[in-house]
Amino acid sequence: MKMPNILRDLTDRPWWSLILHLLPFLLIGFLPLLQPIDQPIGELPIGNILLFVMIYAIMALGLNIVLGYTGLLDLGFVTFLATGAVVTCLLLGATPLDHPGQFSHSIFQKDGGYILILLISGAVCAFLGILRGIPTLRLTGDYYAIVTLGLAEIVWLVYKNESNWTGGAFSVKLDFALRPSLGGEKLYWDTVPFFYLVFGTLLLTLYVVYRLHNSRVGRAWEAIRVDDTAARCCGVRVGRFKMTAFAISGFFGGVGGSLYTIWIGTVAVNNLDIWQSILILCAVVLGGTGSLRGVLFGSLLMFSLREVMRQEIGGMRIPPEASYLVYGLLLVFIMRFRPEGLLPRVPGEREPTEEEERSMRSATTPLYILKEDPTPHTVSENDPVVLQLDQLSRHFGGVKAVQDVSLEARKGQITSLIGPNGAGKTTVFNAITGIFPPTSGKVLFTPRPGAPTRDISRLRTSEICEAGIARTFQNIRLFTDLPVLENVKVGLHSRTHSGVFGSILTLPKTIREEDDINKAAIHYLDFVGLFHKANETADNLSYGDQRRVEIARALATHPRLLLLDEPAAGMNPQETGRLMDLIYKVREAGVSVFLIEHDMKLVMQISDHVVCVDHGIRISGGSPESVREDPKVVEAYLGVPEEETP
Amino acid sequence: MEFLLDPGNTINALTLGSLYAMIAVGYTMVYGIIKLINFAHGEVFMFGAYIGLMIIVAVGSSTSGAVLWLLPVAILLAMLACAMMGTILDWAAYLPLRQNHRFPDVLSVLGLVGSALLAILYFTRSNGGTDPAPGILIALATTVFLLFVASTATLMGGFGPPARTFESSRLSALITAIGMSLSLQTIAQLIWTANPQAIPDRSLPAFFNETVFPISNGAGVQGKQLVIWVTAAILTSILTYLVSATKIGKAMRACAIDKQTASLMGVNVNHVIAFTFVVGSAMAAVAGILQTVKVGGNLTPRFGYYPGVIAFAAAVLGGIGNIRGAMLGGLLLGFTQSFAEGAGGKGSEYSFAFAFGLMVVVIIFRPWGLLGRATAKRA
Repeated sequence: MKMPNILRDLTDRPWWSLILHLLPFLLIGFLPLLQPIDQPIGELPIGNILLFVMIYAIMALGLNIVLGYTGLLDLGFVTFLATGAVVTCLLLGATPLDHPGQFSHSIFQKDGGYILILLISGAVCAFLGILRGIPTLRLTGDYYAIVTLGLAEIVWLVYKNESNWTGGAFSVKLDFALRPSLGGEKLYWDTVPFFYLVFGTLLLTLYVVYRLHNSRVGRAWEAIRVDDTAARCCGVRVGRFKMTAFAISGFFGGVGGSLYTIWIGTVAVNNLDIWQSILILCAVVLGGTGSLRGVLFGSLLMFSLREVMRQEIGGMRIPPEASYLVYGLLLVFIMRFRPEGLLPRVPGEREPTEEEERSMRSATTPLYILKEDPTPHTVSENDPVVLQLDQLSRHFGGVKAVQDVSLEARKGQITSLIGPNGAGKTTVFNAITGIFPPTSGKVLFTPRPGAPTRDISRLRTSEICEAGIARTFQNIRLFTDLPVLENVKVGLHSRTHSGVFGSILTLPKTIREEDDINKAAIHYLDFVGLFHKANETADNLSYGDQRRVEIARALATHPRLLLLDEPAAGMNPQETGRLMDLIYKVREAGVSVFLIEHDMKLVMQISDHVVCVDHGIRISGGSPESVREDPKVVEAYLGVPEEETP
Repeated sequence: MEFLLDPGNTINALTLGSLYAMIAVGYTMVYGIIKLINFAHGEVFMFGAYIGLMIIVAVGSSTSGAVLWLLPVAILLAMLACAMMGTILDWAAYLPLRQNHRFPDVLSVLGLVGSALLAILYFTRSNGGTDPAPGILIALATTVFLLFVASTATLMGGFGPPARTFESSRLSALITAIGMSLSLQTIAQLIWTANPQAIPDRSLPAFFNETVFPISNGAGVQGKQLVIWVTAAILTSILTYLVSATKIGKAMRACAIDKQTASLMGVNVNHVIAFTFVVGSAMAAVAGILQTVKVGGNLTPRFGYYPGVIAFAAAVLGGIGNIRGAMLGGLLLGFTQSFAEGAGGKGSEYSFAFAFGLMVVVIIFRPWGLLGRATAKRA
């Protein structure tokens, strides 16, 4: 029986773990039945604290999408909280406009109309997220952080100064008349409908984030986080997927902001400044970036602590600002001692069981393309050209790394590019794959004999991958902290189509596709002989195995041409021997191979055609024997005897 | 467009710009060497202002009238205190991230938790009276909680799988810096409360506020503005000399390019980093006091946030890691903001937005800054 992922994930656990995970939700869910929400237990207003925690958890989950999945430190998340609050106040007519109630509509005041407001707040913030994404799309690391901070400050100034629209420094109060109603009751923080609305929203948020993370979209995000260049080479359209993350993250920020407004009742946009971002950030970091239970746990810890510290216990209290001191130090300690958070994401490091293996290997899949051809391969001069470089040049400022290089790679052949260190070999690969597009010249690619020849020199890296060229890297670029199987699944990105909505709604099509991806990924892993390592984290593998995973990932993009950048570097003779077998196997499966290599024994043994470059210029080309004998090649490698230099 | 011609705006811009420049060099030096946006730099600036103010108030109240040496002495002492603070900041918060030694860990945990305990203990008050005794319980509870988190984290990190660094260690360092910024701000609030404070006018020489050197149509340079210009000019010149012509300056430049190679050549990288923090923090302390003198009050624990972020913008604008660039960037942002303020109306409401906007535009279109050079990345 096929179960949706979330159920499978839950039923996989031992019973005590299951109870441990479900118990908090059950407790929270039944709380309003056990006692009134506004009734404190002892001196702690438990209902209020829970609401606070849940609302901030929704926002923390939103922030986690950008921070935990795409790996970008967003310091301006408060923008969404504030916008959600402003939109809600405007729609409810609570803002002191010149014409009060300009944006409110009777539909919002109807029973359940608040859901509409929630969605609008989310949508506005999603739009804002995209808008903010346009200028920040290319930024990473601390520059991204500081730009989001700057933009958030600008937005905050706007909200503060345009008080006619937002209330600015004045508190906007949601009066009884303006309150939306749900289930026949006006929504206040202590009403049961509001409690369940927040609880339900939290569960929905969890579900959506969970589904997305375990889908093609989530995989693309993780790939971008670890290495966006490698992700591009796997066909991931990095910009588009980052935008998706920004939008969804913003959506939850807006929803949280709207709920926050109802909960607090009196909003002063002035108070929603950058430190709110830091609070939410602190919750995510404390619990564990990228880990759902971590984010929930972090929110619970952070925001209940904050509320607890606010209470008067026995007639005395900590100065309220002291809690910020605790948060600050928490950030410092967590970063030092446990940067992955208190409940980090767990990579499932185990070998697949026999049963799993059987079910994994069973049935063929439509994505299955690699067929091994038992007949020995023959190479001829007339094999059709797959890739033709025409006068390719790439300059970096004044440095001419590659100059007017022309060469051809033929179908079913193994073509090698050799040359001394710094000759510009990797630059040729970077130019072909669009990482550093050529300064001039053409890259003509014919995926299949008879198919139209395209100049791909102006395409984006991800489009080149889609066209049918895959590559590996000189210094292995796997998605290091993902399991091996996930690495290969990212390779299938460009050949699959599931999007955000399919993944959230669990459409049958998406489930089927995910199943296909799983099977195909296992097939490719099997192809390179690493099935038994499927669940290991990529960077725990040996060097040679990592190279193989990289080849499997590249093959998973269904290439017609495979570029291998020094595949044998750092391998011992045995590993090199196995690598050669693998390269033959790839060729036999119908994929042409173009490789850069320093190991001359390997090059001379397996190549059908060799090209040599030096100082960015092609100096020789032809059969391995002829290139080996070429005096120019000998000169490039060994130098000219002194007496012969002019 | 009249405001463009108003010499008063230029004067304000130069003043504000010199202050920004003095803060920005601290950012740019630290970033140049350890690639960290030292978010807490603005808090060092704020502490400098408070320390200077405390000295001026303490001495000023016991002397009659203004004493000429008071401000210079306060500045020197604040520089000293902030230089220490900067070094401790590096040792307690950033050094453990760079080096995986247990010793700095123990020191930083004890130091940070201890100071938190002291701060909370000292300022916990029971509701009505002033008796701090019952507050000890809460303070203890908080400390135990902090120690619990720290120790479980250590234990789990020690026995569990090796701690994978979060994305890159640089983001962790940035988050640490944010954490320190938040903590220091809170400590300032616990010590000095959130009420705005000011340097009493009578503690400053009369020439600061009363002497005006007229320039044209009513605008003139106030004594204190002149003092700010001169101080900034002297200090930045000294700094430029220090970095470009001394041995430690050469070590700094070497570390900025490649710490590892520098250490192989016998440079003690940690000393160099500590020195950067010392110099940067001392400059920030001066800027803090002068800023307080300039605005005549308004000193709150949040005093350092905006100047801090804008000074970082200045450092980026000039080309991060480039000291002359930071000075130029500071002046440019001073001009942007002062002229926006001079324009009145929306301009003054959004003067900070212009500064932030400029930073965003520069990072997006010219991340290497005005004086920096673009470097090609390798794939």
